Amino acid sequence: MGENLMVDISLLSRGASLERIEFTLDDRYTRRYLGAITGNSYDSVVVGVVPPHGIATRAMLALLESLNLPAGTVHVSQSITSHAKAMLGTKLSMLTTVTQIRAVRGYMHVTLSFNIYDNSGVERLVLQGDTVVMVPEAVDGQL
Amino acid sequence: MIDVPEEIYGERQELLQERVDEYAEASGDHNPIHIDPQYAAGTTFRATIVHGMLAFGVLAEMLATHFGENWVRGSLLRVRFRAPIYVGTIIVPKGILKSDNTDTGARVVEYLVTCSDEQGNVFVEGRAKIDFSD
Repeated sequence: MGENLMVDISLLSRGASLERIEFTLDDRYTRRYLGAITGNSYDSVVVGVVPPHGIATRAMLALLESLNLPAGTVHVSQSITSHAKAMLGTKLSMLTTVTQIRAVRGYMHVTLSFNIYDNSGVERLVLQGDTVVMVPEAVDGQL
Repeated sequence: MIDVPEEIYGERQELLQERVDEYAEASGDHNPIHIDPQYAAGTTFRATIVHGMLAFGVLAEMLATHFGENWVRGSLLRVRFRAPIYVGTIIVPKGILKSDNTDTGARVVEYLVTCSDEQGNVFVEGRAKIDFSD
């Protein structure tokens, strides 16, 4: 996890952009994911088009690998907007920006907004999303 | 003809630890609050809880089942994780039609979506929009 790109989420400021992350919608991940959310054996999962929630979760995995999230980080909300379909095996890239940091009852809520692109041929927007996490770190005063 | 029911339901399902562990493997989210009962016992939750994104996936699958291709391209799902779902909970994914609009030329439907238990306690709620334009 993480290698050299690990960023401490508590050190990010609003407006900060993370480095572009690339990932592939590979067969192993997609089958396991769809198996886990449907309760079916991943051997039985037939995949052609990867659904937007599968893309979003794969993107979350890529984010987890680039961010240092302390144990106890809580996922507060999630949104996704699907723009185009992506097939199994597609290589995608994600641009992520910190769009909001605020203190809620003394804890830091961080909003990460991301755009996911298919870069095979002309760059095409596939998915947009917002993830809000609560970092278990008390904050004082204004963020 | 597009079928837009007043209510849609996903599969009622019990989220056992094995399932949560499988999701952790698939998603790469190995936060011990989800997979380590001993660790979880020492937290404010007192026991392991289901990944929010697993519940999100269950809701999304309900939409994918009902709306197929239209869910894959031209859709929105926005949810808030209101309360922890403890491992072992039986969840019921549901959608209630809020609007069915053709004002902009394309048909866009909106559902209030929830993931609750059989007693009606809501853990995840939000809205989903499906755009039926080509």
